[in-house]
Amino acid sequence: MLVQSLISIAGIAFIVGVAWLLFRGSPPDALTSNEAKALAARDLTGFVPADALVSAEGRAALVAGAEGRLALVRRHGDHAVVRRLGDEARMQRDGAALRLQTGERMFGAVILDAGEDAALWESRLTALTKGTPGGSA
Amino acid sequence: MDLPDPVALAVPFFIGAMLLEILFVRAKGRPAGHYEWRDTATSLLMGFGSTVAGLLTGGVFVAAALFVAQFRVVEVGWAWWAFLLCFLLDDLAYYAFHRAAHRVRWFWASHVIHHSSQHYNLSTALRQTWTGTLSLSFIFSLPLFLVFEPAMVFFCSGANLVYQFWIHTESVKTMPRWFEYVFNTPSHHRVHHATNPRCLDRNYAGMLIIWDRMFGTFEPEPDPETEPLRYGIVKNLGTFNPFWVAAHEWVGIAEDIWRAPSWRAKFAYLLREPGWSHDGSRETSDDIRAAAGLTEPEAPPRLQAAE
Repeated sequence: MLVQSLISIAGIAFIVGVAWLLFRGSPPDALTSNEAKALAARDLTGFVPADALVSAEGRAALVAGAEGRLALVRRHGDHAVVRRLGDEARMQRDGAALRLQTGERMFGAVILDAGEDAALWESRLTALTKGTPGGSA
Repeated sequence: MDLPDPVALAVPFFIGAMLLEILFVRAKGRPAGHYEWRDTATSLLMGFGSTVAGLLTGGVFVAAALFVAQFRVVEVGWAWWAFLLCFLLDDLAYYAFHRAAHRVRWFWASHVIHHSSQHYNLSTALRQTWTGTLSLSFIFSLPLFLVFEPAMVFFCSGANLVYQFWIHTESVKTMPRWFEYVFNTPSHHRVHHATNPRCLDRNYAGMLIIWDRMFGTFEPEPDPETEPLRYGIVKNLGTFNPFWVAAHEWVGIAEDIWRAPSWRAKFAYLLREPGWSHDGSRETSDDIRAAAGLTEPEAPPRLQAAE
């Protein structure tokens, strides 16, 4: 049994190593505003995207939709994951930088540089979270 | 009769086939079947953990099987036709289990692990649950022990799982028409792993696709030019952490039960379909299909026409 387990572990290491060697050189493209909006529309039923804020390195984006809805798009490996933000979402603003958390365990935080629109995006999230400015409630 | 464990025998084949697929996909330079090393590592660790969990908890299944076997209603022995019949009925039991695993959240909490990769390649086949015994998913196989030798049932069940390995690939487009009509194939199973609305809760087959054709859950693969498939789950995890992959739905169930406003809702969070919520704030696969303008097909009592 021990020998079988060691063979399995060696096999796992071998396959992961080969995958790393052969595919590591092809990181996913940076998210664009249009791609982020398309992903949000595709993955969230009824979400009509209107505006998007993409992080500097293109790893994440905040998408504003109709009726004050917000979605977060984040690269995951060479794919992306999308979340509709709800009242558990939290945002901390430091100048133009917005630090966003979905409220979901293990999803992690996303930092976006909103530039001159920081106040606009902050107000959008504040409205979404029912009057909890800065997500501090 | 001493029968080997097909899964244990197949491990070197699994490794060799994955290596070939990696080299093939790399040589073709196509995105289809692409490997992402962290995703691959997670899938293979889930597979390894599943075998460890099987060693630790599989005795419960064996004990239940041997208990049921005491009440065997017929002795079919080891005849060749008994093997064939056992394969057939085991595959039907797998269909029943698999359908329940997508429609009852208790069973889904174990099975979701297998669907949690956004990639579709041979490593995805090995992304297996650690909590299969805990969720009692083996109960669907227990009636077989009323008829067949326990070792025969375990053998057929293992062979069925080994069969399902090769259908987790984008490197095989379609098989001959007659084969696609009878057997589960990469094309049929790609649909099962896709989250396009038309693909949700479709093609539950293990080895034979005939069950889906019979019970109205068959969906042919759409033309990738007009509707490319996207893989994973409706709410993709966004983590490669194998412990969270293994436990996330169980944690979600526990949280929902804790917050549920009534006992009725608490049980519903266990037994209703994934995505059900007491306040209607979430989406089930039926909701997503309806929003996409797809209506439920009428369940035909006979085989659907071949594609």
